[in-house]
Amino acid sequence: MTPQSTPATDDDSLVLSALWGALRVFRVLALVYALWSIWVRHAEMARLDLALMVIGVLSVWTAYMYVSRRRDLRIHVMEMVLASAAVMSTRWFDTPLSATTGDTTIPGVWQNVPVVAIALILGWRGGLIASLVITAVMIAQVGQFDSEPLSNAGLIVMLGTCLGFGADVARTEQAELRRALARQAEVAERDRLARVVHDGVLQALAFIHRRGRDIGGESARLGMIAAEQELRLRALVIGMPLPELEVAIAGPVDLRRALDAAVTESATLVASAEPVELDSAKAQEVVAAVEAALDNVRKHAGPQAQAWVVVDDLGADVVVTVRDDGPGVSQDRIAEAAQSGRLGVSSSIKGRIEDLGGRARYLTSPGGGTMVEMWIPKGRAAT
Amino acid sequence: MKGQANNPRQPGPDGVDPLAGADGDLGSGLADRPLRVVVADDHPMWRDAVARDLVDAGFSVVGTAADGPSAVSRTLATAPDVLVLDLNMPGMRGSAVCAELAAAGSPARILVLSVSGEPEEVLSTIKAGATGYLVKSASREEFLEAVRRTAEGRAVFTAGLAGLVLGEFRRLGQQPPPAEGDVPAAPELTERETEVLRLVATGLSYKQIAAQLFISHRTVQNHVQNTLAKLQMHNRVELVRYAIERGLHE
Repeated sequence: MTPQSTPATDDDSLVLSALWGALRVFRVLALVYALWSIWVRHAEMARLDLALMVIGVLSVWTAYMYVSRRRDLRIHVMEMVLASAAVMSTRWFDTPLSATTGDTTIPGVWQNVPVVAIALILGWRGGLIASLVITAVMIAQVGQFDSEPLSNAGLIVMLGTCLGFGADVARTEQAELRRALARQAEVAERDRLARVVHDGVLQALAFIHRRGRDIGGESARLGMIAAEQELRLRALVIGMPLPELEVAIAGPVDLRRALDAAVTESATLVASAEPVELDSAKAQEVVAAVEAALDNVRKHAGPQAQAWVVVDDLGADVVVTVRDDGPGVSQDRIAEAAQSGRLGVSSSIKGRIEDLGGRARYLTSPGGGTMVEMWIPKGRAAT
Repeated sequence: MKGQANNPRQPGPDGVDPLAGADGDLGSGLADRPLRVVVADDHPMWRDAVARDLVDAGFSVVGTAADGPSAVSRTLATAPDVLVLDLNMPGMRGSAVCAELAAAGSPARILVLSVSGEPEEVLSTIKAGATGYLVKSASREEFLEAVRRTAEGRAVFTAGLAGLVLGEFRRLGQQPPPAEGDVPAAPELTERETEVLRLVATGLSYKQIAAQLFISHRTVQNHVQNTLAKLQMHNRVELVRYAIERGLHE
């Protein structure tokens, strides 16, 4: 169920698909219109038979395009050449009025079809160029600058450019949608994996861990290896931190998830069952402060020390407490160290939290380890 | 959202204080008879291992179950002191098993033993009547001690569970007060209970908490017990209210 790498075709985009569908029908209607308008002025036509032959060629083309549904650039460049020829034929086959003023042309409005198609394929630049080409052909047909082809030109240029721009937007939107869907599939896949891993592999690893420890000796070491892998796997499938996704959304983030990614193996995250929402920038600062505190635990309480990170959501404030079970430091020594500027951790925790409008304090007692308590107001602080 | 609250990163004494209640003989409970236990787990290797550990330690395993419905029927049929319950079993979620047993008036106490740590599921199982929660990677000694404690009617609280319970009270406290008179008010913790719960959440043992607050070990135990009782009581009242509402409207 991995996200499939769909080829970037216009078929994905509903808007582009609809426009192509409309164009396919428009080609037929434009042909009917051209035929009808020739019928209206057939008496004055210079060469009615040849004009009808031009319409005949366009009909074959239209039928082919209707059936084949081709959307590539090549065929539409060819269509452009055909449309240009049809426009030019007006000069010799049509009524004297059309031939000299460009009042109407033999293809009528059919020559706009390749302009729209190229705009859909190439975007606004392609649409602009295609419309300019057709305009040039229409002017060439009349043989002089005249008001009629020029006012038509305005419409065609606008049509080509606007539709091209619309196609660009639709394509960008589509790419974004595709990315979002891929991400969604990724998350769903991870959820599924998490369930499978949880029900099978984690159970087995936890079992090996426990039995190994009970048996002792070599088995105990095997058990420890299993325990390590159990932890990693659990972090992978259950923690599921997708920080880039949350940052992309840029709304409030769940502090529990943000912290889960930061909490190391020797620490336990303790939190509520409900999400603890915090502004994403604030959450990042809190995570950094907690990381600094855990760093401190490693440095001062030793590698054997356990740590607990407790998230307590008070509504208006969040209290994050980091405690370790190391030997602890006396209150006086913390104050003394902070005064002499030796306690770098103090400022990297305190500074961050105070910048958020909160406060941080150390609590320690012999036997109870060291505890850092951080109060963070949820509302926007003057930073 | 899953999983960070109760992961077994520390096999240490997180809330379960192995020294606290180890004054009796192995496996002996209130009376002289061995404690009777039902083990419910859908993984055979876990079920067997847990049962063997219990038997080795002098407990009497009176039944095992491999899915939710049979966990309920075995427990009702054998009336054990303790049901050791895995959270994610086929047929019925752990919380549903607890609710069924409570509805049937079963006196068996329930200890949840799970590899999971899915916070919502743990919390709802506790609210539905389980009085203890232990992750599967806890050591055998911790586990046996937890079964003994559960049998005595004492709550088995890990740091993670304390966090969940505290979080639930915070959530209830932040709900707007009920407008109607017949809606039960959300339960509240006393300041002391909150303090104790927070200390349990930071991984301190009852003993350490007692020393820090200058109160007895027993008092700490009582505070923890009370928080759980309040939550379960509230849950029952809510369920009854819900049932009545449904009944009135149908």
